[in-house]
Amino acid sequence: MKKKVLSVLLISAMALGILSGCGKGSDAPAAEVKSETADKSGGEESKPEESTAAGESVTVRLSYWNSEDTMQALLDFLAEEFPNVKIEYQFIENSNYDTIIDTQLVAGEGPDIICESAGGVLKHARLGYLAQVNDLASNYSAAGTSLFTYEGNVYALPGISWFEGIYYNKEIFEENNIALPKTFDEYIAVCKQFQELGITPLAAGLKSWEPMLKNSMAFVTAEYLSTEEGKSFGEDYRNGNAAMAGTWNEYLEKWSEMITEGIYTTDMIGIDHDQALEQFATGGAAMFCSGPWDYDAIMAKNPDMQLDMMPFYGTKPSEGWLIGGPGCGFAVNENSANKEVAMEILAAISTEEGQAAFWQNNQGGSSFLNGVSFELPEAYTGAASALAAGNVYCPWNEWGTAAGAHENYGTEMQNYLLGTNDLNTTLQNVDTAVSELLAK
Amino acid sequence: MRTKKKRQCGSLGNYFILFILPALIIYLMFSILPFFYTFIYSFTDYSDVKITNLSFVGLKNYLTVLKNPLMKIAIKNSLIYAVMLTGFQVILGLPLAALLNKKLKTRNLLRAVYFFPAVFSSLIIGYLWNFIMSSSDYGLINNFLHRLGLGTFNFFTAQRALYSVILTQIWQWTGWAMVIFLANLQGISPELYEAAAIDGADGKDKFFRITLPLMCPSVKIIVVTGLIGGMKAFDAIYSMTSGGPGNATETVMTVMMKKGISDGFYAVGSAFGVCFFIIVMIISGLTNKIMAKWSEGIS
Repeated sequence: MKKKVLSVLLISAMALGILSGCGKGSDAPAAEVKSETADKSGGEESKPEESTAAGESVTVRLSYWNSEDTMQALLDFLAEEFPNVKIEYQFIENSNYDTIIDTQLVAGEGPDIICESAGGVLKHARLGYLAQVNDLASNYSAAGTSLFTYEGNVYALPGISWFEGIYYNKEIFEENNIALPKTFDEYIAVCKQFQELGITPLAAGLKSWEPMLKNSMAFVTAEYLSTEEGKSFGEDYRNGNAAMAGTWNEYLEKWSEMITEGIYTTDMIGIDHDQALEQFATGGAAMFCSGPWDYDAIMAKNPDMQLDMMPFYGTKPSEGWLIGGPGCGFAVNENSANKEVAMEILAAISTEEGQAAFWQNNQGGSSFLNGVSFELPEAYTGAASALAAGNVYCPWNEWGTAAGAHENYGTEMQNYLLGTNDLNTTLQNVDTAVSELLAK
Repeated sequence: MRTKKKRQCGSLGNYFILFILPALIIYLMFSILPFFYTFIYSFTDYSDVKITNLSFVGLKNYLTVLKNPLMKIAIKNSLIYAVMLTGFQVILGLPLAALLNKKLKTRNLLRAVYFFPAVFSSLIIGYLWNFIMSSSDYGLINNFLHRLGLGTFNFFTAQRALYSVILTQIWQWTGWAMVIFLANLQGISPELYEAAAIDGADGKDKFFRITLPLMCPSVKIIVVTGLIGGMKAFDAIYSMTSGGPGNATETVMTVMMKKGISDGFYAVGSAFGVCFFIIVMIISGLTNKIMAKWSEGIS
């Protein structure tokens, strides 16, 4: 009899365990999500539903695809500004970010503050998941807020900008008496000089679709998208009134000298980003395309490196161009139980101190808040004139809900490098992917 | 007077239901129910921008799947992956098991060494081989080739990338197949070999006429699980190539994840899942039939 009772109890406990696991949870994040508490006050955790009144602690969840250390100074600043608010930082890995945020929002359990990409803001604004932030947005430049505007209302506030240019090893250039290029043709000539000297001109991890995407789009930006003729391309493209195939061909044919001159090689398809970074940082290559997020990693591998950055160039002399834009937009969940507190936090971020705190871990980027500017670190001196001229542009940010197709572009460019597709087929495939996303 | 009801040996009576209940609930909730929903969604316009008020769209999503040029590449790559991985597991695993079934001093150590890679996640193995096969000077193999004065060997060109991934998976999973074969081998009565020896059979005869036919059950397990697992390949591909370069290593699962989940085409992804289920069912059915004929032939 004892055995029977024990068996029944054990089975019941097991079944209860299974069922309780499937029930609606509290505000705890999903299993895939690493969540950490940013609050330093050490107060007890409270539910978001709890009142904010009378000094009671409230928990606000903030999600982002970058690790917590890229936001640490801002989180410390907010912890000081809001002693009764505990900010739960939810890091979600970039490749799963949209999927997890979508799922949480659908389930009515989305974060209170969501760091969103331009495409994410448009999608979630359309579905009614985001609160309007028009008042706060009036303090920012239109260049930053336009990407987060849906049907005349702003749904996210631009964070510190990101940019990507060409890091170069000053020592290698000086030792070999090679002058910095000022046009695309000069850049190709510089690369050939390095090749003749037996030095790899450019380290590139082409296993990823990103390097060729950014490098080629920077050239198209300099040659076409920044001109009178091409400046409306982004808008036309997202409205289905323009196509890449037939429009971008002539520019990308010129850019293809990067491939025909052996600067981008098929061997690089076997190298990933970290390996390319290692190659550059240890003096194995003269140049490497990246942005401020890799600065620490490069300097950690080679603290004595004399590092600087040059922009991408078109065929005509110019200040050059950098690929970049607002890193993320801070949006408030319309259905958040802590909407008011979340808005107050966004207001605090929209101050000079808030921007300075965010910039602390994102040095090199610039703020879109009116009247706020930061000193450019020495490692970006070569890109200063491009930054001062405002020559920072991210073409796919203009594609609206089809922004995600930039990954297709990068993948198709890999096919082009490998000779699997010709240029026109490459661009047609991107157009198809964009139309599918726009037709959703 | 009440007499205690005696159950027959091996019969659990009503306890049977209680014992299978937890597993049944898990199976229903995490396999049957999601599949049912997937099937329903595959006929709707469900996407990340249309999550409520779904409309019935007939076979539109299935036509999208069949028209997708990536689908052909994905099915071809998945089949190559599954057949090659399973084939090499059997071809290499069987003789390895036969060898390590002999009375070698180091056999326990060797068994552990060969099985060891199967303990790790395919993701870890993928990242490890990524480093070993890198084209950079820091890639282990290419560094060695450079020291020998040879040129770079690129493992990740469009033509080689899939086979490079398969190579790593053969390395990882052959040991696992070996263990299954070993268990089967140890179940074969030594008297059969003694009788064969008396009849004048040599080592080759013993392997092909006794060992191989009696290995049918384990070969069946490896072939069926290998083919199904191979068709579902995702983690190794994800960690080593992410479907690239270009689309050279896209498999059914990577395309389904990209189109169905990342791009938010949930209904198309569901149709993709149903098509994939049918393909795997056909392959499993065919494999079972072939294996059953082999078993019949032996008996």
